[in-house]
Amino acid sequence: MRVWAALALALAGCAGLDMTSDQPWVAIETIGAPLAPDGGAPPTGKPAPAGPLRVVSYNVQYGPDIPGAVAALAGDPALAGAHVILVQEIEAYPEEGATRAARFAAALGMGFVYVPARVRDTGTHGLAIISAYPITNVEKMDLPESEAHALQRRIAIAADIEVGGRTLHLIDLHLDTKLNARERIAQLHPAVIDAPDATLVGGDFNTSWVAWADGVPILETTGASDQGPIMDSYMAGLAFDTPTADCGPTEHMFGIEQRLDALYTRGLGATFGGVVRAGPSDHWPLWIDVTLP
Amino acid sequence: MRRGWMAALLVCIAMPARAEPARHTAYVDVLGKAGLWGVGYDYELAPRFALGAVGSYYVLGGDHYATLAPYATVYPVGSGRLRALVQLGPQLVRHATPSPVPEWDGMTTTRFGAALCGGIEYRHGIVVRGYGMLAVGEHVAPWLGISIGWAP
Repeated sequence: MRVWAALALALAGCAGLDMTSDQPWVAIETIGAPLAPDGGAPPTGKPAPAGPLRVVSYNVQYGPDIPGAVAALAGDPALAGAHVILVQEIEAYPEEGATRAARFAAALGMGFVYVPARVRDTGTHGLAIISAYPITNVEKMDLPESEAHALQRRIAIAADIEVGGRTLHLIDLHLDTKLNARERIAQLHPAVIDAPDATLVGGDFNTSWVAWADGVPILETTGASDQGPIMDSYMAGLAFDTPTADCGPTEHMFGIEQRLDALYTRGLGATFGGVVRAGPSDHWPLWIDVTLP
Repeated sequence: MRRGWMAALLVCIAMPARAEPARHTAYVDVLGKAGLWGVGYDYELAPRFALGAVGSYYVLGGDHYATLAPYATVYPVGSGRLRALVQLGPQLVRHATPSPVPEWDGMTTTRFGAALCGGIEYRHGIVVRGYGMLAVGEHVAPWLGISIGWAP
């Protein structure tokens, strides 16, 4: 039935995101229950790194296995040296006690901020930033959503990481799954268009090579539909560097691998690190080294 | 190995399948070789061999997709109303993403792939085909399609 609906939709050529409403950044201190954020400072004052700052993006697929995620990071020499981790798709449930982000950060000996995007069952679902250095000025943006697709609420969070007298401004985000490239860029646009000159943007962009017809995946395998290069082109158009453009797949499901995650930098030195094929999630952690101005 | 395949193909082409073949078939695909849908035509050059093409154009979420997929069909098994079919051919896909914002110009990409299909055809004035498919390009994935058409 959905195939016929998709056919009708495609023939009509409609759909698209609602871009008429403003998407303001909101300080997380103003957000109350049931989407109240959680956070904690790093346990000790860690000195600024002598070399570059290592930044990881990791979608933990709801984060039910925090020890497994910690083991994936701690067990890899490159990831064990991470200073900042942008976490997507992590959840919190009151019956578990501390939030999964809090437990993840504590196991790594780091500070964190967890910002829910939406309520899920008895808890919440959202994004987190885990950092060895203080996290300040945290803001949340509700990203545009499409009425046609009955999407789940997606957010971006912006924050400053205070690294020994210097500041890294970063944006962590998770875009919707079932969007085609034009809608995906429309959903991302408000989160990055007014970013400061020196900014790191990272997360799960869900840049699939599948085309979506009203939620029905159309498996177009030639590569013409790949959204990764399109997203790279858009970000390059905003003067962002694309250090993870050639990183290869970052997600695996049903035997199909895709590049869904990315890190972009502007006004910063950036060197691609790698994708570490480890951990309990359907995504693999992705990392780069960043030099602050 | 290649000679063996060529010989098998020639045998299939040369074998009579039925007395009065309907040589022209026009059809509409749901899913299949042209993506979401397609309009196709094929011509039966011999009782067990046909050439054809299916094409489509559609807009999904503002992205424009155009596909052309020519193919060769062999009917290795069956005759008359019910036959098994195998189809092989290239796929040409053009994907255009118009920019939703003024800061970016949009992007257009054209790529080639190939599709190998296997399925069943029922033919009695109308033509109904159901097939599974392996699509190969930068990625590899299984796919499926249904064709409903007319063979005068």
